[in-house]
Amino acid sequence: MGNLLHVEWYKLVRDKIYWILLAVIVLVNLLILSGGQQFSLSGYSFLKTIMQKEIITIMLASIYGGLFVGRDFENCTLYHEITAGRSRIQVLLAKTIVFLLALNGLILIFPILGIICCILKNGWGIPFTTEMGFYLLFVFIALVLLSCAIGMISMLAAVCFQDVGRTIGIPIILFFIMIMLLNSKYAIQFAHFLPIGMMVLVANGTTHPVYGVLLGSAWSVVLFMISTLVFRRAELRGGGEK
Amino acid sequence: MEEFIFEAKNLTKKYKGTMALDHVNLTLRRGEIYGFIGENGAGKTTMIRLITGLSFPTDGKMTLFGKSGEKELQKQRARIGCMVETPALYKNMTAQQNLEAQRIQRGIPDRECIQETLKLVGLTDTGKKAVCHFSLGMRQRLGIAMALLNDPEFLILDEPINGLDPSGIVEIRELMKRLNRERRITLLVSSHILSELYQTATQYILLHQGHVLEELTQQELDEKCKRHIAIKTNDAAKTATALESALHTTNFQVMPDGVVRLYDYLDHMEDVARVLSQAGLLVTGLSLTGDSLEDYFLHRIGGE
Repeated sequence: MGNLLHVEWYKLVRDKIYWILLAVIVLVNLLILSGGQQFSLSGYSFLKTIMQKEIITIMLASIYGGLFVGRDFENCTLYHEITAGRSRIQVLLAKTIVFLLALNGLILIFPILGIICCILKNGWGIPFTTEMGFYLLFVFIALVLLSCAIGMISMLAAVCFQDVGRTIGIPIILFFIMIMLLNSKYAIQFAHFLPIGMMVLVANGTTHPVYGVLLGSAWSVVLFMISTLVFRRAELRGGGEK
Repeated sequence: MEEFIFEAKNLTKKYKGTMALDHVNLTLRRGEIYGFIGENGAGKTTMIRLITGLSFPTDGKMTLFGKSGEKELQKQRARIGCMVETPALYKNMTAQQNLEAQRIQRGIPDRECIQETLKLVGLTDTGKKAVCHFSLGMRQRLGIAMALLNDPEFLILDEPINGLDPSGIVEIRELMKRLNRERRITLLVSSHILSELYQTATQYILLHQGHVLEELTQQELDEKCKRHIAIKTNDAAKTATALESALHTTNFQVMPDGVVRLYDYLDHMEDVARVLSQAGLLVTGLSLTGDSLEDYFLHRIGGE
């Protein structure tokens, strides 16, 4: 398992697209927020409002997720590990762990940088207690797990379709459907079940982060289990494209 | 050390309504170079995918290095190196980085193996060039290098000379022979270029419509494809006697269908005809014949 994680990390670190996208995300967010007063807020207020503005970031991250996983299926590079006698479940788990770390990096890079920037400029905004520290920790864990839930949609699509096109396309379509639902009459109700909605609710303090942790975990685990079931007996093509 | 690298018993693979492999029985012996021959859809790649674990059999049993059962097969696959269909490469990485990823994944501690393998396949001068800028031949070489990195006991190469230039073909052919000779690696090589396969393989497996049509050694193939005069007369035994007494040769074979194959006097067919006529034989057929591997294969699948 260690070797599998190591090789996935090796691939991620050498993926220029990832680093370019990370820079693009920071720049796009800076551009979007440059016209407003976001950076004159305290760190706490920044945290409460930032996730509503991260929709484009989440979409870009989903596209990268499709590329990172889908490419391995399309070029058949994931199969090196299977033909080397590795367990399919371990192969998928290693891929998922590194992929979700990468995805969280993309989704959370700007909120984290923004909060640090606002704290340095304007302070935290309210008295910082131990209770507040734990609360923030839970918020962070909830946001990470909810990002994982979003990412797992790409993973499931990759396992089912084994190509790049549909691995990017299907999550984007689902993403837009979720956005539509979150703008409908029952937006609040949907927000409690959909990871993107829950991200906003957790960040702005409407919902306790524990609910975010639970929802994120449930989505992630269920989607990973379905992916595993599909991948365990999947017929895999041979070599990469000519 | 196990004598048999791989065994298949009644191995069957069915895809929606198509029988890709139909109760195949096959044994691969250590130290041989197997040429896997069959037209498109014959089941070659399906068999390779089953051996490498990319696919699962519908029925039958596989044994790798004497071990069977899903868990054991998975374990034994660590001793295999393979390139299935086309090279599976990380296109944004260099040749060296591709091999480094493979080294990490395989858990090979010695980094030296990367340079050695690149040298072995003639890819030492690619520098920082990403694989996406490689020619088809270079990709093919890198695919072979990926398969060789773990110093496998059993090397499976599906169309290894695809896209290679003539000198590249010779190099890869020599490499395969050298690996077999020096490291005693067993090879299973599938190729459509049968003339090339003929220069590499020591054993042949002919697949047709999911069945193993024939397994034969290089010697057996040579025997079957040898240039000869095919003589058909009304009496095969008398023909043999006439050849022995008049032409003083025993370099002939009487086939089960009564045809006598004479391997001498290939340029003197008229002498042969005269001798047979003088012996009072009724000659119904006299022709110079001999197959290439390609002819033989086409003849075999055509004869089914």
